[in-house]
Amino acid sequence: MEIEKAVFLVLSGNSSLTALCPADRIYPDGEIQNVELPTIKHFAVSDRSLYEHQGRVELRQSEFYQVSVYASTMLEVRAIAEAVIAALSGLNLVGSPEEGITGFHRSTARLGYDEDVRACGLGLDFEFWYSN
Amino acid sequence: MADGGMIGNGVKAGYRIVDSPLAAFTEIGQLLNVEGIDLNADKISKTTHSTSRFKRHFGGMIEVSDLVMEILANPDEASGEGVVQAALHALLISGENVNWRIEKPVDRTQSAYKGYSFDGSVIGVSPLQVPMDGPQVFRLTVVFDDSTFTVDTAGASEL
Repeated sequence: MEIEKAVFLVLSGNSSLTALCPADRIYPDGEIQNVELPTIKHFAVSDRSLYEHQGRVELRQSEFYQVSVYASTMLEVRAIAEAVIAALSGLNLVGSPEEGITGFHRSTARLGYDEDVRACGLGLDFEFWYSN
Repeated sequence: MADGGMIGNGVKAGYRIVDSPLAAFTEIGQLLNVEGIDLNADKISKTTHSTSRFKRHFGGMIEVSDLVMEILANPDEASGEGVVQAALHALLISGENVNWRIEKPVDRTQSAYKGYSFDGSVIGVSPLQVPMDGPQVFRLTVVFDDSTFTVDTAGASEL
């Protein structure tokens, strides 16, 4: 399964997270101008194949996977970010496909305030290991 | 033809029981890395004092360094490559001498392979290379125990 689909399954299936940001506001990348807040954008910045001598192996690594959280206030953003980190951290993430995903939260960066949409944001960087 | 260079992927490795007739090879799959083998002869001096001021040497006995293989681990001894990896671990415990074969492609299309073979035994396994955020690796060390180191002419893979 593609990593973006798998991450969406994990996020949208996490009731603690969807209580803060509904599943229908979790999008695979894109702009936030016409989206109701709060919202979550997620996408794989890079994806790496691993090889043994006879070819590509099933194990994959998404070295940089960004999940961006936007909301009206930074307080709200941080609460959603913590729920995202909890949902996407650990072994065999709950809600992930059968073959399982292991996630590591690597860093959090503040995103610039969007004056048009009046949204604060945090960019969360993750690393995922999964099978394909 | 590989003039102009080629990268090292496509290597194959395997082993078989030393018996008569020879058994089929068991291929070692999920091979990440092969280190070695170095063949180095002892440097023996045969210098004698004479009008020449140059020392002279000849090559003595040849030391074949250990073969080290890194394999993507499958810890499940009952499935797939896990069966082979469990058998390799068992070879360390038994100390049995088996026949090893390493093949490398001779061209970029990997249509033919050059084989290197010798008898030897497993003297080291590292089954617990388990980085927290990286692939599990199984590392194997084989020591040379043969009267010759065989280098075949290029041909079809035997693995």
